[in-house]
Amino acid sequence: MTKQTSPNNIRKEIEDITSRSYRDIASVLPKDRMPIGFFCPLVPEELIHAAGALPFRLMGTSVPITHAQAHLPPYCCHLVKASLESLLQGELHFLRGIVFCQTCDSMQGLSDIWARQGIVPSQFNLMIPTHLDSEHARPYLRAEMERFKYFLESNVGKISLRKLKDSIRLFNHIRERLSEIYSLRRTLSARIPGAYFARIIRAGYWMDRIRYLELLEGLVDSLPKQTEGSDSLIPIYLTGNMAHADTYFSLIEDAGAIVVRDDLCSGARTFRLMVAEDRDPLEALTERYFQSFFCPTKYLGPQAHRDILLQEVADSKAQGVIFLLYKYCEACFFDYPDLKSALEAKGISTLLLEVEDPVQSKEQLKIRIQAFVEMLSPL
Amino acid sequence: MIAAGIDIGSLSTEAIVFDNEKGILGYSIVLTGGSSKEASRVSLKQAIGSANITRDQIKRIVSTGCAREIAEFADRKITEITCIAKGVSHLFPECRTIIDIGGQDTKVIRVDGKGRVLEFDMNDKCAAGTGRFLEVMAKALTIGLDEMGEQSLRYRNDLAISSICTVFAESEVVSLVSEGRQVEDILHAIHNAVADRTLGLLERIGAVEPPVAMTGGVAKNIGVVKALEEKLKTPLAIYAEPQIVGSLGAALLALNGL
Repeated sequence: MTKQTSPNNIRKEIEDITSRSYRDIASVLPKDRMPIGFFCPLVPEELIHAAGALPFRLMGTSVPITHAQAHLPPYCCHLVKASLESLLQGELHFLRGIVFCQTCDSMQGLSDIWARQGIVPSQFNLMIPTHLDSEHARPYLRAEMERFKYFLESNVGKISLRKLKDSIRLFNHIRERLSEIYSLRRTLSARIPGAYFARIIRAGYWMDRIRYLELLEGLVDSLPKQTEGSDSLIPIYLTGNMAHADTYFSLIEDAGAIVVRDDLCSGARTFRLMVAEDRDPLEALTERYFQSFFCPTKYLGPQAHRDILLQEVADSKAQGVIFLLYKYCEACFFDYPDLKSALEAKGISTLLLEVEDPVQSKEQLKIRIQAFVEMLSPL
Repeated sequence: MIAAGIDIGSLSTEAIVFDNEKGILGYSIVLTGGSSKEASRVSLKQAIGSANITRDQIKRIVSTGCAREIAEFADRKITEITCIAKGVSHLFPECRTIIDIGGQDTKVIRVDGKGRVLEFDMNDKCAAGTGRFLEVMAKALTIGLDEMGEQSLRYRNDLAISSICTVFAESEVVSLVSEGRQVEDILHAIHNAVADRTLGLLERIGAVEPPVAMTGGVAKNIGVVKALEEKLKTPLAIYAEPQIVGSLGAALLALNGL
């Protein structure tokens, strides 16, 4: 293990980048890659990376909403409000491009408002079909991938076949290492406490990905292979939106439980985005969205979301499921009643947490999480 | 074996001293005021005095309520949702649904009759429909909080408070007063609004399974109780001192741990 990848240095590097506001982050981003912003895992980071840019995910930081109120209706989620606020406050001037994709109504509206501001030099709207089970969806999305590639080549740099294959391999390795850390964390939670784990995830959307993979590999190597007695913790499955603020994982751990798996938009759901390395890269990037990856804004059949969730919860051996949903996320809340019923029919207890700014309402979340863990614990 | 439970809430703090053979030995209810820490000390001291025992006879203490973490003397801290379920299951083992309306929280809980919570929900950040909401309304109508319930039962006309937001509802109440509406009718509308909001929460934890128990300070308001009973079409089981059920559950859980 090199000095740069000792456990202490890994933590320091991850905490340094994730402690910064958007305004302060530009100075530590790689100088040789222009940052291209995106919001959603339906945007193929691999293509952005292969073009020579840095995919930079906007994750809804804690920011008082003032300017954005003039542009948005009140029923938009925190991600939409906070991202526009950051743009209007001049926090995102370092971005050289932004990519939206067709997910929810709020995000589509944000795309138009964003373009009107004219702050970020280039913008691309990736049109992802809603009905992924339609026979036209695959060729349509494949054509969109070509269009996105052309946009990147026109605005960033040439994407050679070799570069694209290298990027696909890199992101696949990142997903494998993160998945490994997740599995190890179940019994080594004291070494990677929840707040740190959330930062590891966040760092992976902001820093240079080659360096990030080095850090993950260093971290995996530094962890003991034997368990360290976290068996008394109640295993929880966490599902919902992008929610990698420090708060949630640590509140769950403080209550005597541990997240053994999640289906968060910014978390383990993205592990299902592995790309086949033995076929045409654009075709493989397209195909992965038709497999087990599932975003509630898309439709893969009436039972798709339910079946994927039930299977993952069963595999994780979680005792309870926490729905961590952004307030006003229509797509998630339309699916929620059916998912709750399906889980409870299998004897799995559920808890719904509606959140806005992740830093606020900590006490309200705390009592709900503690009561839920008590409910699952022996009296 | 003697244990104690203390429920440190936003408006009041309750303590109970409980003997596993004799039951409740003593209890106290004090206003929390500006210092939860001080209120918890005073409340425990008063409960010990009321039980006529000494502090060292108490073998274990569990604290609950929104300021449960502040009780340094507690051996364990447990949420009020678990404690209320335990307390109600002790008093009314047949009950399957609990409504608790306290100073700033409304909680609804489904229980299995053995003290175990099956599901729960509570109000969001807004304190509308809670004890604080009723306090504001009482002030707007310049009547005592304790008088609201009985007075509302003398209503003659059905009025509606369309907004449950405390601030907007207060404006509506002031408008109704300006229109010359009777206080009894306005109070009845206020209690119906509290009941409607509680029903909304109950819907979120599934069909209401009777019997239903009610706890918390608002259970002392007969107007809210009648409004809930009418809308739920079932009588509510209410302990003689509904404010101490959470602390009773805490004391029972303290005994469980011995």
